[in-house]
Amino acid sequence: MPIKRILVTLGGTPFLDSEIATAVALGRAHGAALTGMALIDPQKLAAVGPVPLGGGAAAAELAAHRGQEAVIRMHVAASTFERSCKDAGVPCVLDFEEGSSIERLEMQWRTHDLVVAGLRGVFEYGLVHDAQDMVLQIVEAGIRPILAVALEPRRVERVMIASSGAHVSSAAMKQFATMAPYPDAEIDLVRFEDGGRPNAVPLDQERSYLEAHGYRVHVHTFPGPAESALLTTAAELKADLIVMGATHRRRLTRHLLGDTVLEALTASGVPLFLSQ
Amino acid sequence: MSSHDRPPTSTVHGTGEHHGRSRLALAVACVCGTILLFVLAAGKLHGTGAVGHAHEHLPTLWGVGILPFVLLLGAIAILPLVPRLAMWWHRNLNKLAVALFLAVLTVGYLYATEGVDAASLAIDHGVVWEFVPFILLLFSLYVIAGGILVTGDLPAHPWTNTAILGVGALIASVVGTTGASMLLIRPLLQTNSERRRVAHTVIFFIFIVSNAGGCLLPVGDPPLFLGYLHGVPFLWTTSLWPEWAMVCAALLALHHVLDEWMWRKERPADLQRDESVRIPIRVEGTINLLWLGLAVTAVAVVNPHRTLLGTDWHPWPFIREGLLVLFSVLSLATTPRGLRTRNRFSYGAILEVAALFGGIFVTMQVPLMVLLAKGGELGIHSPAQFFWITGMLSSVLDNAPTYEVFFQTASTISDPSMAGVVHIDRGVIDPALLRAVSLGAVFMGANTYIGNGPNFMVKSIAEQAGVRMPTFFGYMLWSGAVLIPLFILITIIFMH
Repeated sequence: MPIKRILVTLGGTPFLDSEIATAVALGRAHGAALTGMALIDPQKLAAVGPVPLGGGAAAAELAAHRGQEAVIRMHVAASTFERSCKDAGVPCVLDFEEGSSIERLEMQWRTHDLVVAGLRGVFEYGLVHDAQDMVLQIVEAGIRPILAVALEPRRVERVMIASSGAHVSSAAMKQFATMAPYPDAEIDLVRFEDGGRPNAVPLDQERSYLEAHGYRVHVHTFPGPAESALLTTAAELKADLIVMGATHRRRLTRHLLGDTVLEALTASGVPLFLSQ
Repeated sequence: MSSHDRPPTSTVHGTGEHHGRSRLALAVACVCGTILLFVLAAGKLHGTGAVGHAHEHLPTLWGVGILPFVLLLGAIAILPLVPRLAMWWHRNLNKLAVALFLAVLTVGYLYATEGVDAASLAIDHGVVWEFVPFILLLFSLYVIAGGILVTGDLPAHPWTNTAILGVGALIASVVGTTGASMLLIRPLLQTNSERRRVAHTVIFFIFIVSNAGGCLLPVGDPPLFLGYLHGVPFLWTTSLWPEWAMVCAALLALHHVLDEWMWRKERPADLQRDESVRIPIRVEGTINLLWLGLAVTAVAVVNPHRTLLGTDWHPWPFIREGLLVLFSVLSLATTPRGLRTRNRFSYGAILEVAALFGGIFVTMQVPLMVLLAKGGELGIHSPAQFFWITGMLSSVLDNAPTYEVFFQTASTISDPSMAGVVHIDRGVIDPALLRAVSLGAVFMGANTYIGNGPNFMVKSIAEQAGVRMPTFFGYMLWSGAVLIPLFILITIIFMH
């Protein structure tokens, strides 16, 4: 499945430069057009939290300040994006939106192959606090695949695919293989064996699938659950990207019960390719 | 809405215009206000004394009677969080309409169960003798302090920051925690504008200047003024100086150590820039220091329940309030033009307090009657218990009504024959319990952003200045780690 249209979230977060650099590089490599989406979510910006008696005026002032600041930062993000695309010769359009972040993003996603966002920031403009939750919300809304980038852009030469043998991780692996954002990367296929799983796809089968798509694959197994070992394993393997499946689970469930995706989004310094 | 080419302009509005609903709110407020005035007048004509006391028995169906108070506090806490209602609730006229409506329900309940005298007394107590002095004091301090502008940019060394917090701790009791916070937060932020790690200093500012510092005088924090209105001597709160000193000293020391550590982590280029930008501290509107001094003196000296210093004369009721209004007007007249604008002064906060507190004071009368009759059965007896329960509730509800409730409870269980009791309007209060309630209400307002009005104001100003303040629960991690152990120590040392 070729990458022809990439949606880039221009949320004024610390990840912005990395998002733009990653998206531009992919655009150039695949001949894809980029859409830079800048969004103002008035409800989120106005949600200043609980307000004490006498704090109403201060709350209104803060909400108004956030709105004005978000517009300014949105303009800065948009012009940075445009300039980078122009310099790289990558076709791009800007999309300015106002409304619910997830709804608007989901609508745009329907006509794009890949979403590039920050690991811990989407449309906050440095003004609201729920960075981790935003990316989880995107995953929860079924917007996939997502390439969640780290603070620094990097050349992707080694990719770790986290495999549990379950449907979700196999589907992620397939999507990565067929989309081939990084066709020349070496693959470390890591099976996290959490007490055995019924109907798990044998690791050799997954390897041969990847090799059929032209990848050079190294296979590793790890006896414990992915949640506790994913990031340390990625660091040991010097992975430049982690591919993993994201199940449809409620954020609260993830927070309460622990979750590999949540752990990765919270703590990873390596970009994630999230799919299903 | 999607616009591919055209970026939106600022779409986040602090206020909304709903003219139809405004007319309805205005109508409700006017009708309710009229009803309350009517009931007050009816009671006066019926022969109720100008200053009486509520019946000291448990009101009939008191569970219903306390509902308006509970609903009002609930509305204050919850409505700003409901997206559909937050904009509506923001308007002070709507707050006033809700508060007056609930006040009318309380008065109606009292009229139905206790008669016109009780209903009239509720308004007499709640509005005439508590709300009016309360709001005029807050108004005068707010207006006068708003005419003082402190500017400057000093090098943001840890000693400088700690010194600013120390000054705040000293002046908060005189100017009020809100006044002191508004005076000092902007110069503090300006001083630290070149540093990246500033949030901790703002947090400690909230702890010290916006809360703990204000416990030495009744004008320092609204709950203490309520105590004063009930008859606690003006200078009684100065006896809280050991606790004040311990908490402020500990917090200043902690802040200093933390700020030293943070300062060493700052980038050298930022510190260099900080050193190179120096603007001396300048205080403008100093005439307001005179009005402030006179206002505090008026509160201290002019009390209709006590003779004027060195005389046998009882000042007439509301002379003190008249003087406060006078000093406010003089402040407005004598402050240089434009200074309040540069100070970003607005009446929004005080109007909001006025809109709500009238209703709070009236609806509170039924819970107070219940406490008068049954306060001893709550099972709260020791200073430590009063300190913590007043404090914990003050952390999430406004500390003034919380103080009032537990002040009343403490008074109910106080033994009039014990030595050293403090005589108040409704009887006596054990000084140890009064101490506990006062400290709980003042200190523990710092536990959350909503424990005290200036907490949120300071957070808002800091965020607008680019400081990334913690979330609501993130702040509570700070207060939990820093303040709670300190309060446990206070309990062990002082609350026995």
